[in-house]
Amino acid sequence: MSLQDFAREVGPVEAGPVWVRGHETRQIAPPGLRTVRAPAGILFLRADEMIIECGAGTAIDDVQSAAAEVGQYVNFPQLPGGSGTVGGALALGHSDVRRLGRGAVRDALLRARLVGHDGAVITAGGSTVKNVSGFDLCRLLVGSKGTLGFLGEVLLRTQPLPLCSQWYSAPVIDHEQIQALRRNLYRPSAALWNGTVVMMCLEGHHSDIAASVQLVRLQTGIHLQETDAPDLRNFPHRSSLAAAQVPDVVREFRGRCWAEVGVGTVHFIDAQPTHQPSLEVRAITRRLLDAFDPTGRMNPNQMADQGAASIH
Amino acid sequence: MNVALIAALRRALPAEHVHTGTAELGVYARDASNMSGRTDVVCFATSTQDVQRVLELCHRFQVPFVARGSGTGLAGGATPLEGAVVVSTTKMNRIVSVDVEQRLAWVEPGVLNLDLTREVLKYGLHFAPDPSSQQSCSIGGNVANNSGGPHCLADGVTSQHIVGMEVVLSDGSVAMFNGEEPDVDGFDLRGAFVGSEGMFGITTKICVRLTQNPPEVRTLLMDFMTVEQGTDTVSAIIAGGMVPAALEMMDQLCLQAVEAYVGAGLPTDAAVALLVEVAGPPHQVQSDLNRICELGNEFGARTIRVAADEAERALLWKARKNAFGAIARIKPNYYLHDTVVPRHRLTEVLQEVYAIAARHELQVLNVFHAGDGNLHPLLIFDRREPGVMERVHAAGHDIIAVSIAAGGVLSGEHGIGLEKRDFMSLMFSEADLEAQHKVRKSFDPFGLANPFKVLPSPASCGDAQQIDSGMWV
Repeated sequence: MSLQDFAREVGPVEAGPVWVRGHETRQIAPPGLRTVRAPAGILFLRADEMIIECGAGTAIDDVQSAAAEVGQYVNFPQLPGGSGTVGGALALGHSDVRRLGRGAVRDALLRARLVGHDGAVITAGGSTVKNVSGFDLCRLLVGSKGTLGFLGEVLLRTQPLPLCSQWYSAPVIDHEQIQALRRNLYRPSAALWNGTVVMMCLEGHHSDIAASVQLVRLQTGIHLQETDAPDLRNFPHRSSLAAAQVPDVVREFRGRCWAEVGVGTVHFIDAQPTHQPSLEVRAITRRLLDAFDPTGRMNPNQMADQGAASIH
Repeated sequence: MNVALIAALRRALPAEHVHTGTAELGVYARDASNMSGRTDVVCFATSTQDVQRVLELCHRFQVPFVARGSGTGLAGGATPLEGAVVVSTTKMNRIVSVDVEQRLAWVEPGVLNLDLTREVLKYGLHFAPDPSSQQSCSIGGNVANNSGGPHCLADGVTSQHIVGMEVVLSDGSVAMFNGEEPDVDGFDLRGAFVGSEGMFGITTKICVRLTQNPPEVRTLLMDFMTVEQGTDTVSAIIAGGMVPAALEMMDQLCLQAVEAYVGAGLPTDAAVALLVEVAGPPHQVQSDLNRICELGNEFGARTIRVAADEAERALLWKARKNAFGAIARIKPNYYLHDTVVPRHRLTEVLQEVYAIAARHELQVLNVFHAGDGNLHPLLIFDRREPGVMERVHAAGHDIIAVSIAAGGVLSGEHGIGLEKRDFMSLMFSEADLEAQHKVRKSFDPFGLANPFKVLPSPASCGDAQQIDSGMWV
């Protein structure tokens, strides 16, 4: 399907409410709502530009496979049992648990061609990794849950695959030990802590990783043991907190959460109350929604109660 | 001049912070670009409350305002139009707090980029964006322009290092975008604000991410007898799975000018030289260094000079960073351009740039962020020469046009401001620009924040006032 076909399917305002559907790994379409699917397929990949362009309906696994053939990856979250579509991941905007080292998913989107509320195609962003030409609409689109328009085609930044990527774990109860770990490690990709165990992802040259593990043992007495990547399927509720709050939260929810140390994202077993945005933020949000989708037809109600529980 | 507004500003702020003297207004009528505007009053804010008071008054009197940091912008972004109130943040220069454990700092917008890095150096940290003006540019300005710098190739531009911010909106209300939280449920207003060139409001406190200093850094200079050899090496390095900390290119005229100025032993007969820096843990650095040298040899590097020690490394960087000072030996004036092209088009675009300069009877030298494809053609001239400015502007137009035609973008780090506002339609359709206008109006429904920048008419038709007739931009 072409971008223009997708725009036609979305249709004009008169076509009424519409929902963009991916693999439904993150969210299921509300019953009774007309659904459309974004174009799928990789349009091009250039290793020397570190970019890949694809339809928003493309499976993340397909994007990662293509990028891996040239020694690269796109910084999408890796989910057990399938990572869904590129569009779904961008619409939700949740970053991988390796955000501490790899950065946020929002930084991967360089250019988007999206279908607006009136069925017209809009381009946001540009073709190069570095670009400050106009306002950063791409940042707004990531995490917008399709309410500003449906992503049709996206140009993504790729990164070189690390020579080695290894998860480690160790029993760690005291926050002081976490601090000591961070002091002794150079830019770990992830540091997850649940109050009893720390899981760390170290990436780079295998000799540097081995030296880091050795240094940690000498300096802190903590023995990092190789382990598999964490599976957070039982921790489906995500909260975004100031990183400084992590020690207190982990103490309170010991064993019932995994906190991303140094980032502030905490993964809980149970749903947590969310804080409401300020009046000023709500007002800007309302104006954005009114400007981009005056009739509220695009993924209806996804931002209406902004500040309500996160969607997984 | 709005006498009532100025009187109200004098009541709202200490009198010594409200300036209307002719000489000062002249200074604040422009930034570091070649574009001039006009202001009737300059206010020096010392706190969020000061900014609130000024913006509340601007809102009441429906007079536009322009935030100004150090005034180092090169695209006219801080140029006040038609008497806009200039709100200087230079006195808001406190580092409010540093959280070493979380590697975060709260700073006021007037803190200078390099001052923050100097302050946190003792903790083994730095603020990653390092524009060439980092000794004098403010972090508020970095936020407004989403600034880059040579070391943003690996670590990313300003947006990736801004966690949250406090903002005064154009009606004087105060909003917090994100705070220290990594994400929010809802739109990424933080992300949209970064790079908004002062058109969404004024940031008054910024939470920045600090970056660990690398344990090992190696710097090398390799030179080539053709531009193509150099640009092919750049592409090969990136395609080879390496993202150096910096990957800078200098062409022959630049090498000659800098060598005469700095005396760093640069290869002045080479077509181009690449300054490459790799940083990180020692084995990774050595592995990348070896591979980059191999690629350089493969693509015809004539010499490869690896800095033997910190002094030599500093000398090589001194050469790179003094390019702008060095050109004064050739011509008294320059016009610095900023476009980005796909790396694989660098050779042909550079050749076009040389041809454009020749066509307009100008000299050009190139010193730029090759790893990002971020060109900085430097047109050098003597302003006293009759008709030269027309040729400079015509050449600049042509450089922008060839960059866009090659699949590039208008600006990599200087922003659009006034300079490239009317080129936006080369890159965006009317519908695209209308979408950007909607974002602007959502943050600033009154069109008071730095109007008439970035978006060409009619996309900016909701802005508060018109540009002065006869104003030279």
